[in-house]
Amino acid sequence: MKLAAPALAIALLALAPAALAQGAGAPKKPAPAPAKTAQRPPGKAEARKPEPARKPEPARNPEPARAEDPKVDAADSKKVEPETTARAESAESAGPPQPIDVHAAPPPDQSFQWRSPVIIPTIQWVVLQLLPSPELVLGRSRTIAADGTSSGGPSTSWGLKWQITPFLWSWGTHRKQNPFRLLVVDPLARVSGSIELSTSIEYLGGEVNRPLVRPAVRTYLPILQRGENLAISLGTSIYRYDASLRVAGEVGAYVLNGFLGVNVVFAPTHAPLTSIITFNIRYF
Amino acid sequence: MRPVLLLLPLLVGCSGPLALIEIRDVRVARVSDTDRHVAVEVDVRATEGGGGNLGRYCVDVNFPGDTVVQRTCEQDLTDGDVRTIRLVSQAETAAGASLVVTARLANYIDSETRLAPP
Repeated sequence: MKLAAPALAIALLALAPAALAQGAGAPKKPAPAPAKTAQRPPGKAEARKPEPARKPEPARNPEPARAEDPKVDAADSKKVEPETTARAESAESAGPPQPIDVHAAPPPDQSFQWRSPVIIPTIQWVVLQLLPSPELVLGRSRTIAADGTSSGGPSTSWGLKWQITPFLWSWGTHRKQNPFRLLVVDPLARVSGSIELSTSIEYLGGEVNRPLVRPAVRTYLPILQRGENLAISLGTSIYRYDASLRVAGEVGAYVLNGFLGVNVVFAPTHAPLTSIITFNIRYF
Repeated sequence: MRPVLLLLPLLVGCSGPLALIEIRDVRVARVSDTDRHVAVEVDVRATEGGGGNLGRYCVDVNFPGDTVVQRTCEQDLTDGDVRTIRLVSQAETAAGASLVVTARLANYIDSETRLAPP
């Protein structure tokens, strides 16, 4: 008894702050409802469910120390027992659960429909085709006078370019659509991957000062978002210059569905037109 | 069949002459008021499909009063170059006489005709 008295005093001192805090109006945390069931002994939980085969699982109890406390067990079992009995009675009076009609809503329409584009030249299209693309012509020239003195060097000129596409084959459109386009080419068909026969009509000013007609074969390759954000092109073209036919290569990059782009035509062996940089403006 | 059709423009493009010389301008004048000789200045432009040297070319003028054709041959032009060549008649040339100017490069010939000045 001499030893028990100090131990009781220590226990009272340990519990005193908590009791004072509750009594001083500290906010009470409402106990969550599942906590009650978690504190229930396995035996009582088994009583709620009419499944005799189920065995108690004491290891799943999150607070085994409290569950082992016989005082807490007795208090909890007193609270839960009436509620459990009421639920069991109501379940028996309701009878078997009604089946849910899962086929009340019709299944979604999963059929695939498509419509081939009907592309014909319109007045608006013709007006858009008249919009030229500006060009910058880079070249070099040399002139030898009668007395043998030479002059010249790198030269720059400006130009304007109009384009027309008589034929295009696209492999980027849906397989059930017509892959061929004549004259009018929708942007997606072009930039999603295609090969086209194109003809450009150019007027080059400055020292060149002449028109050029340039048939070309060009392929468009999609880079970003099926070419809508970025596409590139590779191609080759021919043109007549001073009674001689020339061959040029070209590369290009296009953004905004091919509406804007930069196209570089290069003919390194042709001094007056070594390269032509076109700021491409094109739609359909 | 389709790839062949797509390559057709290239095949057509490669069928033209690779090198040629053409006459761009011809100017005819008397050497002096007292001299009845005629001077002809010919501007020729070189075209070479590969971008290199044109090779040997000749420009000649047939003056009616001369016994021989006045000719000069060079090989100093590359693709795109323009050169002015001056040829003077050796004899007096009558006013209104026909002057035939010819530029030659291998089998390619470009020719123009002018009348002698009064």
